[in-house]
Amino acid sequence: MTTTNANNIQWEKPPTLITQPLQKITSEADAIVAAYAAAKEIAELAKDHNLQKEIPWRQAEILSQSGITAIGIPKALGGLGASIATIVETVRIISTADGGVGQILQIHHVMIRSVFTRPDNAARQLLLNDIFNGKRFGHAGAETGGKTKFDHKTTAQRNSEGKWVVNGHKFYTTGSHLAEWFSAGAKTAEGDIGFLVNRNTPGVFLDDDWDAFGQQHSVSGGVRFDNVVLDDRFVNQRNNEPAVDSKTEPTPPVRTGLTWPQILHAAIDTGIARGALEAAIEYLNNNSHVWVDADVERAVQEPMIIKAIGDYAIAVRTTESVLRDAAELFDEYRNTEDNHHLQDELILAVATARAKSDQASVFIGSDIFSLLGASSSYNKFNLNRFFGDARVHTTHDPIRWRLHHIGNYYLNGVPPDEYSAASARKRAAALVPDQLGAIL
Amino acid sequence: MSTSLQKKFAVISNAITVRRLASEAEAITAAHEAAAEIRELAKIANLNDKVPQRQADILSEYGLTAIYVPKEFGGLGASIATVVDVVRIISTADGGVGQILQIHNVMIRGVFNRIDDEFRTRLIADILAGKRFGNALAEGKGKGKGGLTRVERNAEGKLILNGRKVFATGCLLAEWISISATSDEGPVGVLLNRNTPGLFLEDDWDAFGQQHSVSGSIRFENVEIDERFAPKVGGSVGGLPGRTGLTWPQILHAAIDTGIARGALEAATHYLRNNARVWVDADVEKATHEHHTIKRIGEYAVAVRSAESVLKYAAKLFDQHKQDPENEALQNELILAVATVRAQSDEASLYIGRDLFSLTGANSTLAKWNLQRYWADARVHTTHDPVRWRIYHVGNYYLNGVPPDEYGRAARLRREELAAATGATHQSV
Repeated sequence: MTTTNANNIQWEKPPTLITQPLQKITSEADAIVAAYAAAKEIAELAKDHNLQKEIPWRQAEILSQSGITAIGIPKALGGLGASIATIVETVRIISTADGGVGQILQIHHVMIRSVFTRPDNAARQLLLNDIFNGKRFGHAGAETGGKTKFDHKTTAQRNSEGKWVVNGHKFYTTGSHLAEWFSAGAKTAEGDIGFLVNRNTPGVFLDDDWDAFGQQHSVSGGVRFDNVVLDDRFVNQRNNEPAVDSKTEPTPPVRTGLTWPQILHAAIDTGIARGALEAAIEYLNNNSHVWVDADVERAVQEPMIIKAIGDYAIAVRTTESVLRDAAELFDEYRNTEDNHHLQDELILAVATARAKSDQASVFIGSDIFSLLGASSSYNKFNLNRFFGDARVHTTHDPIRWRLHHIGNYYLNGVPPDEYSAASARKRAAALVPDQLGAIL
Repeated sequence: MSTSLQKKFAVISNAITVRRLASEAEAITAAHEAAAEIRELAKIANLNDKVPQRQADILSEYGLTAIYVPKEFGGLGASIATVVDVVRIISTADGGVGQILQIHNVMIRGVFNRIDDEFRTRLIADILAGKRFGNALAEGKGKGKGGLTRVERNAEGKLILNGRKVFATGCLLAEWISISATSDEGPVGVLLNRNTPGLFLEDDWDAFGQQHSVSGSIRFENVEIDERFAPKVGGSVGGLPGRTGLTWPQILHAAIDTGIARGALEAATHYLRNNARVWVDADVEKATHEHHTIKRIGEYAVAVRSAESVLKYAAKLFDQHKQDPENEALQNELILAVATVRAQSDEASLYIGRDLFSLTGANSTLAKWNLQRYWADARVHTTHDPVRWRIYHVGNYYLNGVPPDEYGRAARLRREELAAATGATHQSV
C-alpha cells in the first residue's frame, strides 16, 4: 500500500513484522546465549553485500524473536531485570555481527528506560506489554540544519480540542523505521514537549532515505510529522514555566544522563572491532595469497601478519575489558546514584570505553586490508562494512570532546561532563543571572 | 557483450585536441587545470561506479599523457620529478584517475627502449596523440603469478595467446595493453592493441574504492599475435628486472596516495568551512574556530607536507639515478627513498581519509557528500603492494646492512638459489 503525505512524499507501507519472542528468557546467562544465537543469524545476512542498502526487516525480527529486546524490563514490572552488564554485553554481541542492527537494539534500550519510570497506569501497561511482545522503540529527536545539534525547528500547536498537533521533519531517527514507538520533541508556545508516538499514527511518515556510507542497518533516516495529533497520555511537558522566548531550554538533564546511551554506543564499536578482527582471521585463513617476499606456505604463517593480528587482538581485548569495567561500575552506580565520586568515575569510565572502542573499531576496520591484500577490496567480500559502520557510528558524539573532558578532569580538576549537561549549563549562563538558579 | 564494450569505451573521442605542452612548468599548470575539472566529477557520488571515460579524456586533452616522451622522439622529455608531480596533482582530485595516468607512464617506458622500427614509430605517434596504455599482469587464483595466460605456437606456426587477467588497470580505456604470459620458451611480454580480435575487455571492476582505475579483467581467446611487433619470447620482459626496476611504478603509486592525502585534507577544510555545525560543548561561533579541530587539521597538514617532501626528494633522486644508473649507493638510496614515501603516503592518506569524519561530523557521512572516497581509494590502492614489506626492507638495511630490495626480486633470487641447490629439478624445468 502506498500513501502520500502533504509533501507528496510517497511511502511504502512496511510489511507486518513478527516480533513475538520465541522463548522467554529467564536468566542473564540465557540472555547471553540468546544474543550469540541471534548474532550468528545476523552475521550471515551482514556478509551479503547486496543486503547492505536494504532495510534490515529480518534482522530486526531476529532481535525481537530472540527475546533480548525485553530483558531490560525491571523485575518489579514482571521482567528479567537484566543488569547493565548483561544488556551492554548483548548489544556488543549483536554488534560483532552487524553494528547497524546493534544500534537498533541500543536505541531501543535507551528509549524504553523512561517507560519504567512512568506513573503506574494503563498507558504504561500498554507500553510494557508491547516491549514484552518484542516491539521495539526508536528515537526521532535529531534534526539537520541549525547551528548545533540542539537547534530544532519541529513545532506543536494545540488544536480546538486542546490536543497537541505536531509538524516537522526529523532526521537520524535511529531505529524508528522499524519501531512500534518512537520518541521525539517539539517546540511549543508553552515550552518544549517530549512525546512518544506510535508508528501507525495518522500523519506519521517514515522515510526510507538513510543513505550514509555505513551503519545502513541502523535505519537512521527521516520521520515526518504532518499534522500529527498526539495522544495526551504520551506527551511530557518538559518545562512547566511559560517560555520567555523560543530559545528557552529544557530542564537540564541529570549529570550522568548520557552515560546510558554512551555505554551502549561504546558496546557497538567494541562489537564492530571484534567483528573486524574475526573477519580478518577468517579471510587470512581461507582467501589470502602468500606475499611474494614471504618465506611461508600460508599467509597465516607470515610473522608480520601474526604480529599485526596480535596488535588488533590487544586493541579488542582492551576495549572489551574497559567496557566490562564501565558496565560493572554502572550497576554499582545504580545503587548509589547520589555518590558524586561514583558519578565522576562512571563518566570517566564510559568516556574511556568510548575512546578505546572508537580507536579500535576505526583502526582495525581500516587496517585489515593491509594484511588481506588486493582481492579483499572486492565488494563481493563486503569487508569494508566494519570500517564504514565504525566510522559513521562514531561521528555523532565526537571523541575529541570525550577526551577533552577526561583531560580537563586530570589536568584542571574539573568534574567530567557529558555534552548535554555542559551545553545546558553554557546556554543557561547566557540567560540573565537570576534565571540561572532555576535552571541549574 | 565485450566487443560492444570496446566500442562503448572508445579510447579517446575523435573530437579531442591534445594540448602541446612546451615546458615542464606548463605541464604542472595543465595538471592543476585538469585536476580542477576532474575534481568536479569526483564529487558526484553517482559517478563513483561509472567508467571514467570523460576523466581519461581530460588527461589526454591536457597533454598530460604525452609529457614523458623523450625529446629525441619529439616529446617534452619531462623529468621524473615533473611526471611524479603531475600524477600527484591529478590524484588530489581522483586517485582512480591518477592510477590510469600512473600505469600509462609505467607502460610507455618500454616503448622508448624498443628497437627503432615502424612499430615503435606508430606507438610514439599514438602517445603523442593522447592514446593511453594499460597493463594486464595479475591473474586470479591459480598457481602463482602469470601461470595461466599462455602463448603457444599452433600447427601453422603462429603464436596464439589464451587466458584471463584481472586487476588490468586502465585497460578498459587504453589503446595499448601490455600483457605478461608464459610460453614453452619462458615468460613473454606482449603488447596488444585494444581492437585485436579475440581480446575482450570486461567492465567488471567492483571494489569499494579506486573504481576509476578501471582495474577489471581481460580475456584472450585464441588471440593471434603479430610476431613482427609484439612478443620477445625469452626476452628481457619476463627476466630479472634491473635492481631498481620497480621504483618507477612504486614512486608513481606513492604519488597517488600523496595526492589522495592532500585531497582529503582539502575536502575536510572545505567541509568544515561551509557545512559543519558547532559541537555543543564548544564555545565558538564557527566550527573552524574550535581548538581541537584546528590542532587536528594541523596534524593532517603535517602528514601531507611530510609525504609531499619525501616524494619530492625521491623524485629528484630518481632523476639523478637515471644519469648514473650503475651507482650502487644511489640505487640503495633510491630504493630507500621510494620505500619511505610509500610508507609515509600510505599512512597519511589512510589516516586523514579515515579520521576527517571525527571533525566533520555525522552529516558528513551521508553518501551525497561522497567524502568516504578518500579513505576508500587510499585503502584499496595501498593493498596491492603491502607497506609492511616496504618497511621490512628498510629495517633490514638499517638493522642488518642488507641492501634494500624490491618485491618479486627477493623472491626470485631465493627461488633461483633453491633451484641451484636442487640442480636436477632445474634442468628438467
